[in-house]
Amino acid sequence: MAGGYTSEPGGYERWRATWVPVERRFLGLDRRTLLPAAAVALLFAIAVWILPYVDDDVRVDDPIVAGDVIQVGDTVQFVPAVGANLVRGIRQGQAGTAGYPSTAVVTYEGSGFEVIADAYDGTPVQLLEQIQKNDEGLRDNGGLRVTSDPVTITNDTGDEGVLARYDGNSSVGVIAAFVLGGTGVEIVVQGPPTVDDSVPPAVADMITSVRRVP
Amino acid sequence: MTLRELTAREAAIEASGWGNKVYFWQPRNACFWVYLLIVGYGLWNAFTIVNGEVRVYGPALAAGTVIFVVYGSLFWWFTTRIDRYSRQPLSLIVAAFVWGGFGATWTIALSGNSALIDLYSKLFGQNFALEWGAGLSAPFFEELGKGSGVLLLMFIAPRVIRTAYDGFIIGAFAGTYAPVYPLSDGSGSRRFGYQVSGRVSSSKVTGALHVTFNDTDAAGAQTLACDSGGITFKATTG
Repeated sequence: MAGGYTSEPGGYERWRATWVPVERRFLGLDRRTLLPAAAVALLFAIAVWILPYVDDDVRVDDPIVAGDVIQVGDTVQFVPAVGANLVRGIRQGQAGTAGYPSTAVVTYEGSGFEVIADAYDGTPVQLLEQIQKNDEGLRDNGGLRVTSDPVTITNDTGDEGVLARYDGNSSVGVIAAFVLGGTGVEIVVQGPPTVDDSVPPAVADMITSVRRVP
Repeated sequence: MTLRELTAREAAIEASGWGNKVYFWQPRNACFWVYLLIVGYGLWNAFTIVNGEVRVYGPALAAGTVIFVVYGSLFWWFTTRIDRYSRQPLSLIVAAFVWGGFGATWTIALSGNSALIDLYSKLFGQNFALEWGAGLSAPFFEELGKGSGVLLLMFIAPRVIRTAYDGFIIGAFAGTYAPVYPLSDGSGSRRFGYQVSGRVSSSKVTGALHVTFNDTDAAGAQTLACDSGGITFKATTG
């Protein structure tokens, strides 16, 4: 296994360097290497299996109450439906020194509602086209594709955006795009295929509540 | 040169491991198998992620790679320059670099950091995760991840890594992983711009810290190994 003795000087050196005496073996492996190998294998197991498993198992329970407003980045906010669960994001007025994250996610009646904000200088139609193009290029996004022609929508403050159907391999939903003062906003609503095909009024209200921070 | 001086010189050369070769194929060495497993997992992970995004973010990935090849080359040059006393074999340096590029990062840090920061967010709130998440996850998974590669290499090449300074150099190379890791970072429509501007500014600070932390870390591990009964020497003699 560890290289047999040969008459070549290089072969002898290799054999001398890698040979492990029988009395120092455990299951064929050098006993002296077992402890460090086990320590690193444990770190691997914690990082790759144990901690992600624990993370998946911990559920977030942070219900939205009347009056809650979620801020996304420095310039965008929206009003989730009462009873929705805040999975990711910070309520307006509660940010720490790191500010507001550029993504917020709430769940409502089995569907996920995600708002992503970032600098963008095109139109809502161009933003949706870019999302569509990106989705067609990605190989690992669950097959999500824009599956209908966009229609124009208007938010509560009169800004126009676009909305289209957005379906994946195991989910259905809609996608909306706004451009609010140099900030592109992508809104993704996804639920299992069993949910009602039409957008519930509460979800439609959440979409149109997305606006610039006054 | 007197006989005494010659003897002292030979003893110093023997103690330093200078001129010894590294033989990586060691099927009886458990550290060898763990090294292969973790680097292999990282390579597969890197391929899967990059392959999933390359059609969309190809230019950004290419820009990130070019920037960090240049940046990584500077650290490579610097670390080679400070390796003055018992120059490490190229194969060992490459092994440390590959560990830093795929084992420590794409396997351990990427998965561990993501899960831990997410857990911080769930248990202590988003603000805590945003402000402290990176600071309270990197010491566990990034630094331990890189340090664990040095630990494995100490037992794969005990005839070569013999002094704290050897650990210092190998640790520095394990920390020079930058050309590969940033490919996993950056997002959204501005990804190209992010790679070019964001990475250049952040790397100036963090890159030096990664190398510095890791070689100090590794030198400490090697010193500990030498102080605690000279396990590296014992492993050599067979």
